Amino acid sequence: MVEIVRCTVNGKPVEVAVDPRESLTDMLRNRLGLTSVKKGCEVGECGACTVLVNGKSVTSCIQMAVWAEGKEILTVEGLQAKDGTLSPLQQAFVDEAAVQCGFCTPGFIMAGVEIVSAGRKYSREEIRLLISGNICRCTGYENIINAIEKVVNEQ
Amino acid sequence: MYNFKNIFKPSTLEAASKLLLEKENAMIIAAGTDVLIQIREGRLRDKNLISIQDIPDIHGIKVVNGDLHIGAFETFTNIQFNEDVNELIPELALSASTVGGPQIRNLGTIGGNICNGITSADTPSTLFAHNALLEIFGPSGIRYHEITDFYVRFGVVKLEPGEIVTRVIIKAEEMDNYFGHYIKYAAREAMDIATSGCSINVKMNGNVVEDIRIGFASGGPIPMRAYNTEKLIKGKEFNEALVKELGDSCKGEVNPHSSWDAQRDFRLQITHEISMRVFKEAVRQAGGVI
Repeated sequence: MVEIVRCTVNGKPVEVAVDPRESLTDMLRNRLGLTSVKKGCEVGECGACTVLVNGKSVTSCIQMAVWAEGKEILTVEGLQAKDGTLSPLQQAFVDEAAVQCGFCTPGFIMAGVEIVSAGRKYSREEIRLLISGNICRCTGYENIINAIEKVVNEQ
Repeated sequence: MYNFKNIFKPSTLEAASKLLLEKENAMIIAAGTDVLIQIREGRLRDKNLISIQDIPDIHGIKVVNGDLHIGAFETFTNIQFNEDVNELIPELALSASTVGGPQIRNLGTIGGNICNGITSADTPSTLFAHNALLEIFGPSGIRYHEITDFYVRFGVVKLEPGEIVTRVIIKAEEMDNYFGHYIKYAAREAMDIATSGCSINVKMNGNVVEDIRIGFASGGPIPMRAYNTEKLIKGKEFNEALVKELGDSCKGEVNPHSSWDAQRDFRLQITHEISMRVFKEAVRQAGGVI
């Protein structure tokens, strides 16, 4: 079984042949090589597979690839500028040492992109709640919150 | 790869209903935050999934002659931040904001929250407490069903073959002059399921409780109203003794279960406490003197 999905991924229109039973995570990783999208729990609890669909953060492991039809998808690969400059949030993760083993990082960054794009300030407590859908098993939350807070407060 | 037979994406209610009747082992899939997990765990097998997200009729939140119409596919995030919902029935926005985490709220729908028939779901208790109506499309046309009579038992609701819940309707008279509040108790502040949830709304006449409606999540095998307690409290003057009377009565009226996350006795204790807190806050919002 093969179905064609037409969508926009990181700003580029794509046409992908998928198995209708595969998840959006599988499509992004295996068909498009976007391996920033991590496979963690695969039941929508850890947030490692978080991507933005039409600007909203979603756990792509519990989304079907065929539902991507006509949608705009953004992953970490689509954040940096053409010359390779990191986005402010990515740079903040580097500067604040918000990365330990790194497995959860792309998911946290995408959740953070949604928070930052709201264009308003948040308290630390609010940021904690807004990243509650992501788990860091190295428990490096403080620096992750520092990084997001930095960008939220600077804009 | 998910283990199901096939997924169909009809764009009309008629086509979806027909597929539900024609395909072997067919079931509706909305956002999938529950169904896909059940498939992953092997609890649902060989399903033909009928995906309803491309059907325009089940989207949108609007006010029609004062009644609030919420499309069944509206997400918790959309409900949480919708201006009309926040103005007319703020505790529904509040209850939607307590579901899972941001990613799940961006996906999960109010229709799915109702139709999967789970007692701990966050939005049904508030919908029970406002006598919400469900608009249901089926082979014989459109019908309306009261949510308070919609649940049969754990995981089972009164949907006939080929039927789809299209809209949740809260009538103007069920919201006008009622003020309410919702508290979800769970072990964690996010990404958790309600140990107990309570939604109460009141209509006050001075400091007398003219009307009160009490809904519970995890108060029994299905979401429920505490009708006996409502009768007991209605018409009485609000004071601390009445708050205690409400808490004691609610504790006696619910019939919670013991499970891996909480024992029955603990849920009873929580019911007692949160029902009193919710009642007080609802009365405070209605302008009662605390």
